[in-house]
Amino acid sequence: MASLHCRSSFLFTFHRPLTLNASLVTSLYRQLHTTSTFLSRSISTQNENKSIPINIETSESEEEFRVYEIEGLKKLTELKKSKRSLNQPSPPRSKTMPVDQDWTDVWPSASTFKWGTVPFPVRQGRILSSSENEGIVPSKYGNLELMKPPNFLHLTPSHIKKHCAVLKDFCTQWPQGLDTDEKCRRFFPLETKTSDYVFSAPSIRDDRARFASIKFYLSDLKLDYHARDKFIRLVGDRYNKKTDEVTFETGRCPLKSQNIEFLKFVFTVVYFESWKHEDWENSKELQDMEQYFWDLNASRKNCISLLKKIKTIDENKATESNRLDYLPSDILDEDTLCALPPIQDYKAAIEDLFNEGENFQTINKYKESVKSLLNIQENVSL
Amino acid sequence: MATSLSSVQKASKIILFARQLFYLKSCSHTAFKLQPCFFQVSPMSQYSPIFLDPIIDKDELKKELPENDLRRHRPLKAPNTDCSISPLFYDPTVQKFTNIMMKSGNKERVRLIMRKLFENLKHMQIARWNQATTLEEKSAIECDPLVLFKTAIDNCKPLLLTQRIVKGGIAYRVPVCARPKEQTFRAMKWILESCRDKERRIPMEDKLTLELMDAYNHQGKAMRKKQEVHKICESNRAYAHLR
Amino acid sequence: MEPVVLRNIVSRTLSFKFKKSPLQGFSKCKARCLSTSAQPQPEKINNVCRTHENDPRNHTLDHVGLYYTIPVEEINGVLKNCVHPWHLRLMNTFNEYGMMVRKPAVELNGYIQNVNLNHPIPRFVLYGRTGAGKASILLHTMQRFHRDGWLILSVPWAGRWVRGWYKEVSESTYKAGRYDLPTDGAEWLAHFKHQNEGKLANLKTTSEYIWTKRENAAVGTPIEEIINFGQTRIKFSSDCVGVILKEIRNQAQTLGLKVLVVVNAVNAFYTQWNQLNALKNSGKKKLHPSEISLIHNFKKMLTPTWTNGVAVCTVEEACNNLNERENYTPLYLLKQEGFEALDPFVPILVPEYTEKEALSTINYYIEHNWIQNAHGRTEEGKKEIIFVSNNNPFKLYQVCTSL
Repeated sequence: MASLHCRSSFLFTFHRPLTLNASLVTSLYRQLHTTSTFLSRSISTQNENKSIPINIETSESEEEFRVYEIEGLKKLTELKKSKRSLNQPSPPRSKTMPVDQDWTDVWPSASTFKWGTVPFPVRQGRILSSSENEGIVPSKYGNLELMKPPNFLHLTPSHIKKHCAVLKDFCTQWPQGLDTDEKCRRFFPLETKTSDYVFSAPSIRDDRARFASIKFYLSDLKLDYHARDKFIRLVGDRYNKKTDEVTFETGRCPLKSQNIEFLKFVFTVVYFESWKHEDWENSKELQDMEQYFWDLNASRKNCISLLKKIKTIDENKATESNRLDYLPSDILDEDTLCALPPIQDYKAAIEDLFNEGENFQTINKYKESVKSLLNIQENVSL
Repeated sequence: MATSLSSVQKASKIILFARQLFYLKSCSHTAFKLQPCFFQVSPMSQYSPIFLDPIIDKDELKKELPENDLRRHRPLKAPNTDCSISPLFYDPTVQKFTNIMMKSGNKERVRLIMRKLFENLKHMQIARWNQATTLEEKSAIECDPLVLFKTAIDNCKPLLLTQRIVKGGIAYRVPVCARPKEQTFRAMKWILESCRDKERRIPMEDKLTLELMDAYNHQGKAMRKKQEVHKICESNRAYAHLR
Repeated sequence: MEPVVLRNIVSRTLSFKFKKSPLQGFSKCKARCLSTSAQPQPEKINNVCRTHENDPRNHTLDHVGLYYTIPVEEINGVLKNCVHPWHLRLMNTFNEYGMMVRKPAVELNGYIQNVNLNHPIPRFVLYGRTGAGKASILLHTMQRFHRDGWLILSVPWAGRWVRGWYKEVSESTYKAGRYDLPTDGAEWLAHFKHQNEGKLANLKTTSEYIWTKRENAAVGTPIEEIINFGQTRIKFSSDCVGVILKEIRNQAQTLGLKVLVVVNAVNAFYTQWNQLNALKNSGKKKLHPSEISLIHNFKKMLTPTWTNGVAVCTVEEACNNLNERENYTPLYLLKQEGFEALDPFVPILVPEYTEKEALSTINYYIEHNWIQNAHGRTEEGKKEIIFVSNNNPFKLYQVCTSL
């Protein structure tokens, strides 16, 4: 009974880590010593096969005869313990590596930096002054600084190639005709992004798997100026001004599909909401404007009054050479006056100047537009 | 810039001091381990002996360093801020004068004064040069402000100075030969002192202009001071053997 | 082409002098001969940096970067108070009133020449970095159109009217809520009279002005009389300025006057100074520039309500508060208020020196012995001066002061 029990327990411990094994064995040994020699022998035979340290003491006590040594009979030098040879470490593995080895076998998965395994020279760390370490940054040998940061030695191109080769079986074919990014964007304007996580653990669930995000370009939506402005205000920092992308992301529902549905719902609501005109929006004044509008500002009024004045002067002096030719002779209302090309240029220039900010391009554009607006010419003799 | 520099210097001083302490500590245990070069460091130096001098010459800077040159591997000292490689803006005499005039580290102010001083000198001399009619008159007028400045200082340099020596309980003012460095220093100091004695409302550069032009023509307060010192030396020449 | 010629000359003269100097022995002589090394051949260098076309009316793009001379009478007449003190001192020392023809000046003069004077006044705004030479371009334009017989109304530095310590500020007698600067008004009257000597004879008032119960100016009073009145009774000087400006606006067309309005640092008219620097009234209230009657009157000269005139302004960083000097462009300095008041205007950039202009200035200095340093006369030294000054005209002058 007992031996059977023991055997099963040893079989079990064999698959366990070493520390657990040793402690279990020693406790067992103590127990057996107190019961019977027969049992201990059966255990020892069992242990010899597995080469567990328990059998050393038992075999010594059985087989060797310890001689009693009398002091003074033997020479002292012989009694002295022989000097233990220094435990020389074996040379680093990197020295014996062949040049054409497969690196993926050497470094199969992510691990901390091992100086003996990495074959190339690398230095890392800081020296306090040039007198420390002779002013040289420490090499890889026993270098703690190299072990601190995560390394990417498990993600070399050959690693990736291997990964891809394995994953290829699980992939589907890329749809034909979607060969450029432009086409992808045109046919599939809404981009959904979800993630799955793979584990070797007993549970295949992961909390992060429920998160979903959708992305689209704002310019793909049909919006007028007001709706676009309101849309941007509503989505806030979800809109990236540089790339013109809007990204919605959520993980509030327990399931992935629910989250995707929720995002599409939010997208729809924001779109229709941005088209709505509330009553309080009409009370927006010039200071509240997010941009400079020439039509609303004093500049338009000044410009039109100036042009009208010029027009009356030109009409009185018909023979004058330096007149504004683009002004039509029949009397027009203000809106048709503003639609004249030089005035449109001027309007665009001044709006650029305010909205885009001052730089040489905008200032020069403004200058040229004013020159054509007022017919100011450079000297011909230049 | 200045504050950060000074803080760096302070830090390096502290590090140096700390390292000295450390070496002394280790010295008590193993006296022979001390590096002999350690004690050769000047206590005022900001740099450890490992640092090498920088290359200041422009032409040498363009050449490539030799293969086994130490400067390839060792850190270099930063070049001195006062020292410039350009002969346009750097002159050692002017630099010295600037440093003597400076008060409480306000060098930028003094450099402005020097700039205006040179401008004044040029305005004065070039206007005169333009008014001169004959070639002889024109050639007699010195227009280079640097030459004016240096000549004025040369004119104020004393040959002898008195030194206080006590013999038998009596203090004697013994005439001694002035060393070149001392001569320059005295000349500059006297010029500055005579300017500072003048009316406070007048800007320093204007006072300096007048004083330097006086000194250039062997006149002025600084020149008189020099002559006084010479006179005292002359009268005390009986004590010359006490030197 | 031209700098190359110069390089040869300078190097030749220098090498000659260096050969000679060791024979002479001591340092003083050596330095002296170096200091006057460029003197023997001034005519040749002349060709590089100056033009003999001294009439600004004939200047074209071919003259850009070259110096021409202004007669003394014009410096003391039309350009009085308008030249920077350092510039004037330099001119006096050189005994020659030289100024460079710059491209923006030629451009501006061309515009003004082609302007239709029957239209409301066009406005030009010069902008550029501090020290780039905006005021010098105003000088060139003023001199040019003064010779054509234009009437010139110039404000040498508008910043003078909006700040100052212990400056007398009195409430306007004409309108409550507006403030006069009696001394500044009188000063401007004198300046105006000096600039337009002999051109004001035809100008007479067209309406009656009553200063006090006893003093009044009837219809037909000559403008000169009003100027004299403003100078003697400086209490009314600001009102006199207003009267003169109004009469000029009204009569420019009928009398066929051509008027050039020049305002240096026009942004001072539109920016509010901070508490420390702003002018205050007797009640310690900070004054906005528009409350000052001189500025109020001059702003009317800049609106396109009148004809037969041209307005030229500059914008200066120095006339804004310390925290508003990041940029030198017109909209930034004028702000929206000032911009809308001047809009539409033609902005003209005054750039820093080009390589040619900087070299020309250095050559001009060398010609006048202003650069005495031997290294400064070499090609290498010139390059270094230009580099250190960053092509900025005023910085270039500053760098050369101590050489």
